[in-house]
Amino acid sequence: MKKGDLITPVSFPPIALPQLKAYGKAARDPNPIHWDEAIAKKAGLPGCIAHGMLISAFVANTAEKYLALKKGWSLTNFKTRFLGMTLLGDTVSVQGKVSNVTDQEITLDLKAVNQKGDLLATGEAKFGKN
Amino acid sequence: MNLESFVGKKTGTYSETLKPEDVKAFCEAVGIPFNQEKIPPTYLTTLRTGEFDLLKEIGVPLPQILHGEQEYTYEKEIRPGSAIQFETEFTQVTKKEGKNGVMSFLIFTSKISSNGSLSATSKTTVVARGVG
Repeated sequence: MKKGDLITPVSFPPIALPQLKAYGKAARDPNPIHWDEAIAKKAGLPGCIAHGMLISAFVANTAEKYLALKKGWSLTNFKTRFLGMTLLGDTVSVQGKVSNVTDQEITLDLKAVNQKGDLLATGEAKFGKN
Repeated sequence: MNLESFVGKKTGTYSETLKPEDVKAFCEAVGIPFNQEKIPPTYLTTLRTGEFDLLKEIGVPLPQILHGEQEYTYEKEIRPGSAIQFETEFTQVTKKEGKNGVMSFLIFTSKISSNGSLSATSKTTVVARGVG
């Protein structure tokens, strides 16, 4: 694994309302903008939007899967910045690259985009040697 | 709204056990495999209880908020079934005037521990639209 190596893009199934309801319940997020279209629209949003942390979970999973190839490293720091809204029906894919490698730390830069290529979130995952 | 006056406000300590069946339901909703050795990195989002309690106390309506940024630092792996403690503090607020009116950026930090030692820290940036 070296700086500049690309992470094969991973696509997740299209975002659907039952998933947002199940995720909201499991993540204990009380915000109704994720499952009540009327409330979401009243709040000035285009409709129900996916939880940012659901997208973040996709990004983290992609990072951990990539690093699983290398034994003995674990996630020490994970950041996500939310830049776009994910709407019902959107397909999210996560891609990225290795941005730094030292003896003690590997850093991955990731991004989540929708089917149109719009940027939804950026992420940075740092792994340390166990 | 005088958000600044709430800066420094803490929730007090919450205690709970991370039930394996809850972790499993989370993994299923995301679409990732459940690992009984460790919780997924973003499972800590289920501990935003303190943030939501503070937002209520501050008086920010939930439909007006969006998640801006999230950072986690992991000190130790947390296993499903672990008993944990956490506390959240409202640490900072910044106001910005945009073309769609005022927006406030609220930062909450949380410390998550288990067996008396720190397991993880969380820093959440929440964007409150039309609030400031």
